Amino acid sequence: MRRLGLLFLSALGLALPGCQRDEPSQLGEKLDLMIKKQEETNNLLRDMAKGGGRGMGAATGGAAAGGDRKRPDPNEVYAVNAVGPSVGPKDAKVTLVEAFDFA
Amino acid sequence: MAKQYPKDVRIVYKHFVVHPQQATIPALAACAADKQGKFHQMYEAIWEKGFNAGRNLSQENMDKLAGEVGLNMQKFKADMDGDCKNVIRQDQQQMASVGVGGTPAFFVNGRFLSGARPPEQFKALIDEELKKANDRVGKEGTTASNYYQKWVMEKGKKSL
Repeated sequence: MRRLGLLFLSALGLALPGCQRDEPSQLGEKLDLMIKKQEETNNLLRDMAKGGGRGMGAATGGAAAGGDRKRPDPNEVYAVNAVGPSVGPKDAKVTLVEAFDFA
Repeated sequence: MAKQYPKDVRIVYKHFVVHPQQATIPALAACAADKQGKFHQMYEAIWEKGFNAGRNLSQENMDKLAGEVGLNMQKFKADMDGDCKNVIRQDQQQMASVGVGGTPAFFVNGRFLSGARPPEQFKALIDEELKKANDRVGKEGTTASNYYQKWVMEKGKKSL
């Protein structure tokens, strides 16, 4: 029994330094990668929020301040640019433009 | 709707990112897929295997989905980092200029319909616009092909 205990302790002694040596460095690499990705995303969002007071930032603000925002009149016809990915025939008599986001 | 009106309705998708922290990366991914002619495959994949699968809209998942859809990964990444930023910004500006402030938002031959609505409301508006179009096509040089340009783009309001 005592021999078994010694054997277990020896194995633990061999295994622990390995864990201490490898895991923190792997964790560090992962954290660095995550931080880098987060910085890239932040830069991207910052880029997209620029652009003459419109763009992403304005859209977010517009949605948040929905009560004050002027809305389109459903009885008016608006010249909505219809260039973009589409389904249906190009010569369809009705064009439905959908503004969407993945949220 | 496109299935109900296979000859008469075309649906055009415009990016309007209201939730930038969540929706910017998938918007760029959908745009990059469009540049390889695979917008719809990617659009469906993002909803099915991204949004509906625990809202995993990370770059890693977009790369995975792009691979599944069969995109050229080098071009996909280059477009995401390049021109797609402009595409999304332009879509956003166009939509904001006609009063869009949230999603989903729809314009049926230029007429606004906000939010998720029951199909009957879409159908009623489509039928109304289709009747108008049928009355106009064949007169004053109007054809089915130039209908949107003549009656919506040229005569419609440019802003609110």
